[in-house]
Amino acid sequence: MNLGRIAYAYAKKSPLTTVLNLALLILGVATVALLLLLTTALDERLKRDAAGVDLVVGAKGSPLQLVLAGIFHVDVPPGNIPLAEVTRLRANPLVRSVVPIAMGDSFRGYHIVGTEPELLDIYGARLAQGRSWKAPMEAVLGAEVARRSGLSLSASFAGSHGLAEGGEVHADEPYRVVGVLERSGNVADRMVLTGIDSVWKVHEHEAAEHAETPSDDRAREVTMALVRYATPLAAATLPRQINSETALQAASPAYESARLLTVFGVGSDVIRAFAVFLMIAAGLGMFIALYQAMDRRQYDLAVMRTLGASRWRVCGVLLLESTILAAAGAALGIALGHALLGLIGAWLPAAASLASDSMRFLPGEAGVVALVLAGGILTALLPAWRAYRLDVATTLAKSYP
Amino acid sequence: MFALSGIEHHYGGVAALRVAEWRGERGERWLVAGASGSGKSTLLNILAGLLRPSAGSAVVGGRDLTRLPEAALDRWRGRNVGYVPQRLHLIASLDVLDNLLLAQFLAGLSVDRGAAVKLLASLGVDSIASRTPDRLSQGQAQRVAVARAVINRPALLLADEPTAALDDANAQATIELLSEQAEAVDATLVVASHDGRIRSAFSRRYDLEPPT
Repeated sequence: MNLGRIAYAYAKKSPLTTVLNLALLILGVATVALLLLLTTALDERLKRDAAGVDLVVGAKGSPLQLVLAGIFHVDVPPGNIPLAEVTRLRANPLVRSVVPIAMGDSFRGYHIVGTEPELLDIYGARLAQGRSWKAPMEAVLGAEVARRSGLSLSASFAGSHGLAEGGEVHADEPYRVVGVLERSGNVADRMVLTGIDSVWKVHEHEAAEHAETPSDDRAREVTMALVRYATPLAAATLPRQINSETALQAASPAYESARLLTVFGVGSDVIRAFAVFLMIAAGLGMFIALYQAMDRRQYDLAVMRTLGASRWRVCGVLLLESTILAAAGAALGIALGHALLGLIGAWLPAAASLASDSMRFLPGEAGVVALVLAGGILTALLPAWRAYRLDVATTLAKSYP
Repeated sequence: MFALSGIEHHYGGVAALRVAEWRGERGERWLVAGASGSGKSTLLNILAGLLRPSAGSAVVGGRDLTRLPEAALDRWRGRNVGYVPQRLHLIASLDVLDNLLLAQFLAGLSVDRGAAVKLLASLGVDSIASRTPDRLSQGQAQRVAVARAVINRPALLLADEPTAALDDANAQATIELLSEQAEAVDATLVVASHDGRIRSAFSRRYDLEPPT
């Protein structure tokens, strides 16, 4: 016999109320925890993906689209830019390095990116197997691409046209896997890398099929260029310079991803508010249940006083009861949040990278638990006050309502 | 064992109890008799340390309850008083055995399951140890309430109108039960009752007059 056992006995006495309030609390906590985990993972992923690039230079259009396509590889690029412009950019003294990328095809939803080996430096990616690409149609797979496709060294695959899944398959121009990257925890895991000339080759062929003009005559084009500054000073001048003086557009990944998070933030604020409502409903439910129970409980509490319990102890019973309920709700809610994250990772391949670490606990979650516990104590304060003030002699003399 | 003197109690200015002088020795069996409104329950509550009288002194087991600090009074009550309320008030959320263990726990004594089971057996109700109070007969509930009152071997066993709802046979049996149990733990028994049927069972009687 102890206080916990008493609390448990009372919770068991009205199982429906207990389960309902607990369920509301669990759902609220799980939603908040899941949001917290997802937004943190998204924030970190955006930062990691954008970390190596100061500026994306591409065709005029939406700067956000440029960054979404060139950095996060989740959108189609706005258009192409002449290779000559990239060469000009390279000569700019404010620029430390320029890595051109050419996109157009995909493999099972992953972008096939024609680029130079320097791209590996940008993402801090290292080869786990094989070597880097040299000849046309040689490809290096990101860790996630290799894992999901099951392709290994010297396997061949065909890209499909367009950056969405289900495009026309370039079966006559297969790629050959010459290397697989180590997991780097950023967008490099989700790329198929190859030489720019591979991309040109696939599409020249196509151009020749569809157009009369021989493709060799056209100026070479790339999709965009990833720029790293030579000096921090460049941030102030280079984007403006490019946007106003050339036919190109420059977009800052850091700025655009911050903007993206702001947009996403509105949505997550709405969900968070909803989750807080759930938790408040649970708190109110607990309060009403406890308060109503007081009418019947007062006899029990009076008897406990006759058995030697002090005023503080009968308060403690009520406080403990709601605290245990709140603690159980918080713990189960956090567990459910993590379980949901794991499920999201397993069922939605697109979100897998956000859910890769579903067992990781964030400091913010401790904050949620603390808030829920505080709420649990708060809901019991008024009933506990009534218990403290209980007049034992009068209560024992009263008949049941 | 107890000595009350000059006790007066008012509820909101209305006099509820007046006891000029009353003493009892250890092991005695007392009937507190009087019409309704004469303050029998109030007197029991004062003896149990549940109520501080408006005036007077109540010395029980060598302690002046009117001067004991509240926390000490609670502790003292847990160890020294067994109380059988009129409506029994068994805790409905706990089973019979747990009702007894609760009394041990709240008195700050070590929880002794074996002793509780033995006590239930001596009262012939060990077979219902795992039932909840709502599934007990009136007689069983009464036995459990008495068991809960004596589990901590109190020096003072109090019962408020224990026979009010019982027929003649059961009323006699209940008083016998209380006497036996009081004797078993060497407790002073004080029963408050206006039930004329049980008068003969008590050697000592204190008659309360409604205060005016």
